[in-house]
Amino acid sequence: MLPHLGAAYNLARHLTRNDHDAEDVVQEAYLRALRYFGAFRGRDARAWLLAIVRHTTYTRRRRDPLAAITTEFSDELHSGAVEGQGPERDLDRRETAARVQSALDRLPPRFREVLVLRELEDLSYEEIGRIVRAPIGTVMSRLSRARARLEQALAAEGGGTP
Amino acid sequence: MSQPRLPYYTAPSGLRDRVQAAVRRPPARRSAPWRPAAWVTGIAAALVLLASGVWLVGARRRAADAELTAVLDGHLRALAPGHLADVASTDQHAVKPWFAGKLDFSPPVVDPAADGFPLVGARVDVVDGRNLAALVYSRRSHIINVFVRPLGADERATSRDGERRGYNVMSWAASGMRFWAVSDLNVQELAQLRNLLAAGTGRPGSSSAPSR
Repeated sequence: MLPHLGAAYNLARHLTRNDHDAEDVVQEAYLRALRYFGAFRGRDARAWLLAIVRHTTYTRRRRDPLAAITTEFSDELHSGAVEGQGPERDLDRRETAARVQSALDRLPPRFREVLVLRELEDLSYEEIGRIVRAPIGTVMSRLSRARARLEQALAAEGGGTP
Repeated sequence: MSQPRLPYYTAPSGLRDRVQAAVRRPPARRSAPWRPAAWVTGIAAALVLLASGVWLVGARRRAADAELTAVLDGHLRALAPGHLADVASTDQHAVKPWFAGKLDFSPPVVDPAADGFPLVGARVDVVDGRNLAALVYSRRSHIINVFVRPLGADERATSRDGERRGYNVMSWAASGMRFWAVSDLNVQELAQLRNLLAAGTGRPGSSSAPSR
């Protein structure tokens, strides 16, 4: 029951940038997945599910103006440290993680999603292309631009890894 | 330089249970937007059904009324001098073969003379544009015309009694035939004849098989 819940939540959390919306998205995505399971022809259920999570996030945002407001970036909401990451006592590492997260949250969604899918879910370019509905070339260039912008953001903040 | 490590968010511990619960009872919220449409469609469909039902019932009734009027006219026509019977016979075994070649069906003919309804004669009548058998019975001085035609393909085997212009009219179905009895006879005695005819026609062979 409920395979790939972790991956679904991770993507939803990155796209919505807050816990509450992420949970709603995951729940709705699984309902949709169940409804359309008959249409599932692919080999990789995870990629298929992540595509539904992504689509759910964007349609929700369009449908619900309140969701759009709450997902607007705000420093208070989105600059907190990453929780639940195990015993990370090292202050430096915690700070770095917080800075990365905050920098990532500032990226436009089209960059954020390819980064998450590639770096965290280890999906192939082809799979990512299917999820975000873009040709492989676009995925690759978008990914490299996303990486560059993330590094830029970290460097601009000062004290980014040299 | 090293690639910055992105945070991986782990799902909250309660999420799996919540999603599972939601998956088990899915429809409520999602079906809400189209529920009004479903209501409207349902009501519209019910109204259409009702209207067509009323129309159908009405159509059946109108058809039956038209036939009743036509049958009564046939009865009145028959009472005019010299029109009552084309074959004046009290013998059912003479009457039944007489219809052969004049009709595309063979009406059941019984003669309940023993019960006080002697068969007087028969003729072919035209009612509502089609040929049917008319059997003439008498009761004391009263004349009873019994019209017989095959049941229509989609016609229901219902019975009805009525009264028109002082005449009693009874209609019933038996043996795949529709019977109309018209007379100035009282309702009780007309019903008695109906029962005799229905019972007689209900037993195949009782009237239709002359001894060879």
